[in-house]
Amino acid sequence: MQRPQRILHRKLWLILAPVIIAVLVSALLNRPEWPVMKTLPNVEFNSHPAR
Amino acid sequence: MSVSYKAVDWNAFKKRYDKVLICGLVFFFTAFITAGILLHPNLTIEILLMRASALAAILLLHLILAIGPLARINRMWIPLLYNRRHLGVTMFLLALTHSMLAILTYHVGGGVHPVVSVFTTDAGFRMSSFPFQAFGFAALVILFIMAATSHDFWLKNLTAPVWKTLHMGVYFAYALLIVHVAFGILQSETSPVYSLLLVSGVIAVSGLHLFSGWSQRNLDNDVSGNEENGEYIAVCPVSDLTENVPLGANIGGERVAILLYDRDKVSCVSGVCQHQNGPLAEGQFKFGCLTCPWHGYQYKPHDGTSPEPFTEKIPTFDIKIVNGEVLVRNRPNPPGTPVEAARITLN
Ligand code: HEM
Ligand code: FES
Repeated sequence: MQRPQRILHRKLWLILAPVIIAVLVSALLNRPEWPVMKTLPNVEFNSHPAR
Repeated sequence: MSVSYKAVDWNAFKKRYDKVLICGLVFFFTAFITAGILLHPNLTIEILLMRASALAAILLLHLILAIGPLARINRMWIPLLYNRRHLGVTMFLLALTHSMLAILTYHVGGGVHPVVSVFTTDAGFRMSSFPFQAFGFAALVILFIMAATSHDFWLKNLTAPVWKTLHMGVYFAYALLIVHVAFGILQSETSPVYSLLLVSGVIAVSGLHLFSGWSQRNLDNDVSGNEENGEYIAVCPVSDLTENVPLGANIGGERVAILLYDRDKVSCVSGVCQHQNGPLAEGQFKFGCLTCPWHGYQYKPHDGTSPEPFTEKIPTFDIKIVNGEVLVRNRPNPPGTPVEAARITLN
């Protein structure tokens, strides 16, 4: 890669990388709950001998 | 002699590369669709094909985006650069297949124009009202422009720097596709495998690009130091050179390639290929010539000329070795000027 492109490329990724990661993280944090997470505690709760 | 051999060698490599690509894809589709039919018998073949082509496209895109920085970090990956454009066009065709199938399955026959439908309906996807398909569409448009201009004709017409800048659009397409997938399938998928794959992919691609940019930053700060011996500039100790492996450096803003060859000779030529500005310092030394990694143009290291019958010439640089340091004059000689190679002392 030539110098001007290399510099542009570097600047581009300095911006793009955090943006992409932020998008992905926010999508995953806002998605409906994983079914596994919902069912596991219930199963444990119901089958707990003390109850 | 070396000329005809070069052509054969080159095409054979490209053909092998394409064969591996096609076999990989056939294997992937067969495996994906067989598994799909067995595990989810309720899914139609169109849906399976749509998902298979989407997955193949996004996997290829990750590979394509990783090759550049990998080759800059470690020379081992350079062969993968040779035919990257075929990968790109294949990826576009897969993405197009996926898009067409998605439009046919979800957007045709609803009374609205299919393209309008892509932007306005989420086609019964319960997960979100987020228009994730519009992002897929935008990415497809960018990928189409890249694929359509991928031919050498455009590279020549637009000139290499413009073409390269235009093709950085693929990074924006990548960002759009991450939105498309993260707000599309990842919202409804019940297994975390997809999410983990995508997170690893994004970390790998971003990490590689950030790292290679960071590790090459010195190339772009002028190597102004050590102005010994008039206009000669100290580039590196001789011990940094490996025989027959070019070393890239930046001399007063010019990219150069320094090469140790014929056991003890050291020459320095421009690092920019006459053909389309390919990075000669990332090339190989073959048949007595520095060979461009992009399309195989060759230059003799002592005078920067191409072997007969070719007529390309690149600038050469005066070079000498003092106290184990490689010194290069910071002004290029006119293209094709013979320069006496510096000699290292062999022990
Ligand atoms: C007009 C353009 C596009 C439309 C309408 C579209 C539509 C869709 C739809 C409806 C889904 C969900 C599929 C499902 O739930 O089974 C999907 C998933 C996906 N799309 Fe697209 N898409 C488009 C362009 C693209 C492009 C250009 C890519 C590039 C690689 C892409 C990659 C993906 C991937 C990786 C998935 C998830 C894979 C999967 O379903 O297993 N899409 N798309
Ligand atoms: S750029 Fe095409 S061979 Fe060097």
